[in-house]
Amino acid sequence: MAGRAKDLIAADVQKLITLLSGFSEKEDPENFELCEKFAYSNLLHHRYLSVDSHAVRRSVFGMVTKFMIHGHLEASRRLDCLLNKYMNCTVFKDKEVQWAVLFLLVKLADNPTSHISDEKFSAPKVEETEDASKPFDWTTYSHLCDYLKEGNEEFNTNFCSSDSEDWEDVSDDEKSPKPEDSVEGVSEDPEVPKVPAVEEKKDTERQQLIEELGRQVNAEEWISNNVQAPWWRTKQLAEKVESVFPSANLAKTWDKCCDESTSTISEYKVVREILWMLQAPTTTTLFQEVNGQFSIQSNITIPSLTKDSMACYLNPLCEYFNMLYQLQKFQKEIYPLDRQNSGELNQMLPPYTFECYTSAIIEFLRELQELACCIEKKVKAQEDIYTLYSLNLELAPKLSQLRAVYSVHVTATNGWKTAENWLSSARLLSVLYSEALSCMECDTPCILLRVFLKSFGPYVDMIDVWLTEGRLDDYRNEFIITRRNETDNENWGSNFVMRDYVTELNSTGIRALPLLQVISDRVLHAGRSMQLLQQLDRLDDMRSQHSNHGRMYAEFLEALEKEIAQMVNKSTTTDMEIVAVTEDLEFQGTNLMSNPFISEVSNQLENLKDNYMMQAFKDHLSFKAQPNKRDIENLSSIGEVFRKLGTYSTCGLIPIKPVMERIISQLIDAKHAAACFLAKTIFLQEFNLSTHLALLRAIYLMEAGDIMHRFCIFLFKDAEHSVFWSNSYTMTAELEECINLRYPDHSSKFSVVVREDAKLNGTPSVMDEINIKYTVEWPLTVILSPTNMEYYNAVFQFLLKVKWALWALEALRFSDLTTVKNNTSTTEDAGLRCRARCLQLLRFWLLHSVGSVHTYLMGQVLHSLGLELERDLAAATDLDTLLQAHNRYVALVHTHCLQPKSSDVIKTAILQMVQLSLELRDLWCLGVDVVSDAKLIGMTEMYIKCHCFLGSVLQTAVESNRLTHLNGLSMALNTSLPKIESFALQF
Amino acid sequence: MANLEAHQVAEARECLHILLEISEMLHTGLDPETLSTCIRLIQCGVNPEALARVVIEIKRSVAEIKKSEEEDVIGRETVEKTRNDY
Repeated sequence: MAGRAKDLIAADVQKLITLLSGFSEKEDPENFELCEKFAYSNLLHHRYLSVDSHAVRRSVFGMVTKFMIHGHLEASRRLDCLLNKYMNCTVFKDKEVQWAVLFLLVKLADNPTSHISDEKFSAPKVEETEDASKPFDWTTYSHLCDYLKEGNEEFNTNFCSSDSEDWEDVSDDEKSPKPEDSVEGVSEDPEVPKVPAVEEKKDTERQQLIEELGRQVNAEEWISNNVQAPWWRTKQLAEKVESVFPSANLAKTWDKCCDESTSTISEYKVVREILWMLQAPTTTTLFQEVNGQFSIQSNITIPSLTKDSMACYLNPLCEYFNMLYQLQKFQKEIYPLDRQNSGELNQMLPPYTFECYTSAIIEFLRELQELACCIEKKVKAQEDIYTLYSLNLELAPKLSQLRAVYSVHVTATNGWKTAENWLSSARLLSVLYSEALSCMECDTPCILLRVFLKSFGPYVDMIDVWLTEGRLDDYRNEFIITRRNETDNENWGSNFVMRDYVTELNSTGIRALPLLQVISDRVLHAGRSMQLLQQLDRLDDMRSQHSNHGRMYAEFLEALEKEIAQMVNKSTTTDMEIVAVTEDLEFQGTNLMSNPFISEVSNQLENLKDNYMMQAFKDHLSFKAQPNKRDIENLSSIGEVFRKLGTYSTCGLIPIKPVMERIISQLIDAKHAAACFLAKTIFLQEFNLSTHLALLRAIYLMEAGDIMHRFCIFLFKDAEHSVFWSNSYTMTAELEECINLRYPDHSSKFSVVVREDAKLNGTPSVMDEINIKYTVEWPLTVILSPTNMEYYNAVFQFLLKVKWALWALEALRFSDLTTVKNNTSTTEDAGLRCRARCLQLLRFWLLHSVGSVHTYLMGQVLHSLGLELERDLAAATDLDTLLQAHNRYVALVHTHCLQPKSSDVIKTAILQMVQLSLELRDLWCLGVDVVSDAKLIGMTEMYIKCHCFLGSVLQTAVESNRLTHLNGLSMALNTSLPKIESFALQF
Repeated sequence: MANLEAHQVAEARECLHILLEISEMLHTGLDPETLSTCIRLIQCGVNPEALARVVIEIKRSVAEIKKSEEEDVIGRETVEKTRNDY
């Protein structure tokens, strides 16, 4: 093989070596031989690929650009011209050789831009002159003519094909020498002025304009004479009928009878008019449009029908034209041609959901138009008889779909212009979804499902961006969740709110999109977490976990398609098993169909258009429509996901709803879990949320009794011995000192705020003036919100009051009373002893009651709820549950500590006991001899009333299951009810 | 028939002229004869890239040989001149 190739090129190789090197075989055989060996080894045993014409084209035209960039404009133009000429050369039979030669030159090119000189290429001006002297592009014009003549052979009768070919040849001949002539003409005439006189230029321009206008007029005239159908312009149409058969001339006969004059056009033309109307409904010879309503023009028919019969036959079609007209009008409203110029504001733009919906509708209409085109080609060919009836039959399925789509369209887009974007979008999606799932007609669910999935795209994309990028890109205000206040970091949870689309839609009788209801809560939670992560600048961590940004919609469709395909395959397998049985039954089925009853039942079932019903009876009856078979055929031919989805759904028996809900839920769950888990981890690990919460419990709820005891005593003494509270600074210093004992790192975060002008009157209410402030930075404020901190303070103040009473009672010493007693005279001894005993008794009662309350608060409430909180925090999977756990804890503590208004009765009774305790302490300190019996009796009665009242209220509350957590306290008080008799005995 | 042949020849000549001009603009250093030889080789099925390599290498080798020869001549002349001076 190589030997033959070598022989073939031997002579040329030797010549090439001689030309390049000057070595000849005879004079310098040694060098020549070396060169020859080198040449053969390269030419015969190379590893280069064959020539890539595209690469060569890029290279050479790149060279043109390079010349231009280097400022060699003339050279660039010249090279471009040469290359174009070379491309058009017909010398090379083999185009590959042509490209190979050019490739060789490119490979041999040696820094051309440095060696080029523009002076050499002044000639190309001739080319420009040549172009200028050729004002009309005849080639294009001839192509235009060909294009316009397409499918209208009858208008070309003046030109036989051979003539036209000759004409084309002639024109080519005329065209090809023309440039050369002009080149010579111009190049031989160096006297031609480069800048013509102004007048001459004007004359030339005017002349060119006149010529141009003339050509335009001629072209239009030619088009109107040859291309446009004459019946469009003729007022009185009269179709010449060749047949003498009376039925073929019914219109004429009818006119004679009724003395009327009706225009007639052929059925062929009517068919084409109808097909054109399906493309672009407008007023034509046959149809007229008035306010968007189409009707047939009066006084026109086909020769074989009377005009009324014709109108009866065509009027049903006008309904479809109306639908098409309305759909196209809607399309123009959504995509106005002059949107950019009109300068509409973003708020005025339709939602993206509507744009996607419109594109799906356009797709559907395009299918209809393609069908119309196919039919028109068939009709134009006139190879077979094609009547209005045939047209109706062929269009019927598609027109039925059009009707279904239009009816859904009307409901879905009702009032979209006036409604808010979010409401109209939700309405559109809801209607499409419910119709796609409930529609039973053969092909319609598939179309509606496709339209729905396309329209749902913007929502899925928005969710995707939100849960990946952390920003809610709702540029057209169409999403069901909206941002309330961007800067409000404290109320993080309320930054995003759900719009009330469910109520709005329900009020109009539309069931809100269940798909959204399934996911909306999770989307909202995840969106909030994403917002938080964005503010913490931690979105990169999130992105590193999920690199599939922007894929959610595609994943949704792919998963849906896969899922449905599996289900269809299952049902197909079952179908295949049944096929054998069905085939056996076919013969019987034919027989059955001959039975009028069976045939009637089959027809009825088919008319119901219920796929489920047909599926149920398909083994027993034979139906004309067999959607399953056709669908399965389509599966192999259609690759597109949407089409596949559509095709599967035409089975009409697949439970799309749960499948879609499951898939979208899975996708959202993945994002939701990732976002929330990351946020929770950041809170717990980086912001030490657990430590902060423990600290709050230790200080506010006084779980750290040892350190808080010191601060409390400081407060109680201040309250008892001063007229005004110490200032905030002193109190803060005292608190810090206390906290320093155990939490030295956190003491500076606490401060005491007290209203200094508040007068200390010795009542428990003075404790309400004390507030502890805990300073934490964002984002901990999301959890330790102002509301929560208020609750903590309220509980703290209540605990202070109870602890004050307890402290006051515990500070009383019997010895104080004994001292008093020893100083008295013996005659009053009995009375004093009696009073002292009463005071002691009252102290015991109060100690028991207030102690019970204290035990309840510190033990049953704070300790047990604290344990519960720790358990909840450990179990929290995401930030939201974390937040909920803490909020629930705070709310429970607040409730169990009797702070809500509903517990005011119990709280007041307890505070009354606290007040009594403080009064008792005062009496005790005054001495038993100073205390009057009346005062003592009054206090005791008051206490007994309080105790009994509290016991009975608590019992009622516990028994009515309203406040079951108070059961322990109720038992403690009710089992120790004081009796006035036992007190009276002391006297 | 003769007209047709003449037309084809004219066309081939024009094509060659175009190629020559392109070659000149690209500064390939090919003269008309070399170019037509290359075209013939390509028509015989030679790979243009391999051919380009052969052309470039041969030209480069020849240039080197010429250069060394010139240096030899200069050296020789210098030696002779020196000898004459002595």
